[in-house]
Amino acid sequence: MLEICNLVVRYGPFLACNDISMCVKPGEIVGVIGPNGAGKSSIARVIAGLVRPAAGSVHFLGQSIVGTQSHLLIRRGLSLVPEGRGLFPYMSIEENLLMGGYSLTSHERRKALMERSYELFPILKQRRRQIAGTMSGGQQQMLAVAMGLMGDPKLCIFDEPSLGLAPIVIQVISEALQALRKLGLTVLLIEQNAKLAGTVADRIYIVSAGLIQYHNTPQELLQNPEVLEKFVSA
Amino acid sequence: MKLLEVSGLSKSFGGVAALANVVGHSIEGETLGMIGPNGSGKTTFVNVVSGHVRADSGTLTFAGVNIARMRPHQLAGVGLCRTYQAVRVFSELSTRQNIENARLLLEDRGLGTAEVRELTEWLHLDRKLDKQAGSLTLFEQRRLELLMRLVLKPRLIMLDEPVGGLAITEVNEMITLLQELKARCSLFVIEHTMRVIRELADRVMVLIAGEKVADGPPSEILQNQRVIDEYLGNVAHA
Repeated sequence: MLEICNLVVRYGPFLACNDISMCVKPGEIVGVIGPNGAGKSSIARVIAGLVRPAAGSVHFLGQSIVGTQSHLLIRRGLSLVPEGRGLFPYMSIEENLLMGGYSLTSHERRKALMERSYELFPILKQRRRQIAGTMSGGQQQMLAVAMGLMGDPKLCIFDEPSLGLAPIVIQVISEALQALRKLGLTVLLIEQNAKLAGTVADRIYIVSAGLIQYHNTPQELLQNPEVLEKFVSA
Repeated sequence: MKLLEVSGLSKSFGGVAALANVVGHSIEGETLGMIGPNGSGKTTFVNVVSGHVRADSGTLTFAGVNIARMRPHQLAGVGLCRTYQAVRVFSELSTRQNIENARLLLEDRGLGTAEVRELTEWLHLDRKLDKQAGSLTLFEQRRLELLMRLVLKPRLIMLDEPVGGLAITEVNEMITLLQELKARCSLFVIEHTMRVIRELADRVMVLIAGEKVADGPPSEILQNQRVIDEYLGNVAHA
């Protein structure tokens, strides 16, 4: 579904990604973990059309998407739930969800997706008229995930969805990701919480200093003592 | 000796009670942890104690002094300061200028030059002094923010999610730094990473929906059924 080859990303003199290659197959949950500044979010931003790479290719559903604008990528089935959530804090939960589904032309589909969001996160339905900025951090993150899904994506990229959340909310996010897998959604999960990525992902890429250092299933990676020490065992 | 003491502390925003009649204290030399779900009032508690937000009711004392109406800069003068969930440094200024700005607050009552140099080396910022603070990594910025509080010779530092957003190896290093920091001053730590609470806190207070629901040693609190049900859940991710 997604294929990245020899990706290089630069911000002025700073090299964020250096020859990154990875792929995501339909129906998979693929994790990308690594420390701050490793280049994880740069990968997400390139895929979502927010940053133009210095070199390399990105194909989504067989077509090159380098240089494609973000709103066109959403229409093709690619959504990004950014780090920091990207909500409209002065709008209600329901209005935020409608904004997430702005690219849909079918009213019926929009309504069905909203119901799916409410099934995934029942608290959002209970509070659908509440102003988003007044909700707790955990509820805001649930809304951000739901907004990303309102675009009816085939591939959804989640950038650090567990950041700053209470353990029980991370559990809710983890269960939601696993529920999405059952619905056939493909997920690219960018995370620092290696335990969350290890729980839900089929495969994991470990990125450090702009390079992929390891790539394997979580089960295999979690048996590697060097991986455990550097990336997992906090 | 009790250092920070709060009683009947309440704060509402509109109709929402962020803090409801919270009672508690910290002891000099102790590291007091605070945990609770997102939106349970933890940051509001720090905002109220550190003079950023005024409580609706309740009493607040620090080392026996009423601090309820004090502003943050006045609290720094009596030895109480805090760090922020989203790190706050002067990003356009150099590391050195950030430190010098922090020292201005207490003028000659703060730390001397030699002591500041020792802290700078301890926090591994001595080679970053001429770097623009905004270009530092998050971990370096968190250490700089901590240094900017330490030059004020605090008796208590309130740390709001000190390992938030840090990578695994950085979390390990931050825990080591904070363990060493315990010898320099008392700490109050809000965290969602339970390893930080287990390894640093002598005692833990739990806030749920603005109310204190438990207070005790970490080993006891992390087994508390209400804490498990409403906060920890499956601790595999914590």
